[in-house]
Amino acid sequence: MNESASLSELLINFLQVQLFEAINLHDQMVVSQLHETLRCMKKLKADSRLVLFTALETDYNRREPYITYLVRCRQSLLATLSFLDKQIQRIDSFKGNCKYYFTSLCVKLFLEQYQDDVREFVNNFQNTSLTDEKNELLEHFLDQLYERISQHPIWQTANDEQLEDAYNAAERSIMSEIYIYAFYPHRDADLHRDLVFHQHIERLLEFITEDHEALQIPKIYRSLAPWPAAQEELASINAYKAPQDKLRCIQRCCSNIMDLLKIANEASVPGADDLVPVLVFVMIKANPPSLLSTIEYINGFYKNRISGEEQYCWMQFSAAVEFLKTLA
Amino acid sequence: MTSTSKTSKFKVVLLGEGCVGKTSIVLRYCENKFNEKHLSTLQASYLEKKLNIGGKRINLAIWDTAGQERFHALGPIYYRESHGAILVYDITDEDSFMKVKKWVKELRKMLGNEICLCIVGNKIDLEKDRTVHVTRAEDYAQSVGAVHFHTSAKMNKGIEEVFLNLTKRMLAAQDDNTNTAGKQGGSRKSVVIIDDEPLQQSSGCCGSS
Repeated sequence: MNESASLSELLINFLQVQLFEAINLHDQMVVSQLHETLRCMKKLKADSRLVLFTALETDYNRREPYITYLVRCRQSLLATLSFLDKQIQRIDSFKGNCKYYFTSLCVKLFLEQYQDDVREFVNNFQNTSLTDEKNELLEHFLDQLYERISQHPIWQTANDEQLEDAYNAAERSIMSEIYIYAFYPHRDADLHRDLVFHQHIERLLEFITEDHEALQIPKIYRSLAPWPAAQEELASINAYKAPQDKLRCIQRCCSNIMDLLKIANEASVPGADDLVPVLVFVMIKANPPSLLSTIEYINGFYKNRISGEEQYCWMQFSAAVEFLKTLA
Repeated sequence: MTSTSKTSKFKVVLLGEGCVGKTSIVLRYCENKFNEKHLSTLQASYLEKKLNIGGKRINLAIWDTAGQERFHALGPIYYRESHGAILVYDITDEDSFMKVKKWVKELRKMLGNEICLCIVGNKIDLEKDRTVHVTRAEDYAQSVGAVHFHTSAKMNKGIEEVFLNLTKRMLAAQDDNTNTAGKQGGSRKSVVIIDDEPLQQSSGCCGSS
């Protein structure tokens, strides 16, 4: 008797606490439900309350396996969901690749129709000597091509994004046609200059290590040396011919370095003080050929179109090359 | 009034010696976070911040630069085409203030009055260790046409004001430019930077210090 009284006391207290909580949260629906429950409870005799209490307990125990089952179902559904998300990501990336190759193919077919124009342009380009004249010639020719693409039957129903992709593919294709003449405008002189610079860096390689005082790489980051992934990105720069692809390669190299610096020093966020020395070090280690020509190529044919973070990475890259010139 | 509809883009370059807290200032400003807990930003070298001042939309690109003496010669590449510069020194470090003076001289020589300058004395939470006197710093700033500020990245003091002031001045300079030149940035493009010169100059600086 005593036990049942204290139990029902507890239950009423519990309900009252719930009620105040609901009032605090302005949950009108729950407030009225709890008021009603309390009213019923107070009407019941202590014995009946105990009966009710036991009934609730049995009911709760009976439901428990089902609740466990539901929790497990939910877990496996969440796992499936994240698996599907992964699949969607994969398909998206696959879609991107397909789109890229499809557009490149369309542009190739398109350019075949204008083969003679392209050949004439390449000839003109070859015979122009000044970089800004070359750039003007290129921009003019590309504008012409864009105009033709937008009117071509292949792209009749294309949206802006598809057109933009086609322009990029056309530019890529044209840049690879004129690559040699744009990248090494003075042929042997450029090749020789690049070679001299390349050898200069090779000599640096002999004595520059991650703790060399000329670089002042902060101590905390030295354990990450020699940043092989960033080196690989940079080493592949000459595999790309279009300026925008070369730039993306440089940006990947920089963000790769930054990501790793962030891991090495959890307590702080890496800034330029940390990036620059490491970038210089990575450039010495990777030593991609034709660095000087790369600088002039991008400044000559793409500079006006670089913006945002890409521009920042380009600045740091150019600065690093300048710095390498001063090291001896 | 026509310029209200489009976004103005400004490049702001951060200059200052290694440990003066450039990174913390820009992080505070862009993320309102300081170097201690839950940082979401992975890097502080290049950050963008969108602003709205008096109905004008502004996009600030904040470029961090390497502060080590070694890289001083790269300066002209860093601040080329900048609209504004924030020069940071540590109020407890006399050398870092001297370095700011060196930057100012160089910036004024290379870019003239084209560039808006803010000089920032950081770490006022360490006021008791101050070695750079307030009046001296402020007088100097005034004498070179810069605005001086005191900040504490640690306590998040004064940072918002620096960027707001700088942005307002860059906007005013842009309006002046469009009014007088008739075309935007017309006079900016005419600044020719000769790369050889600063290299020579800085090597002289290195020798003297």
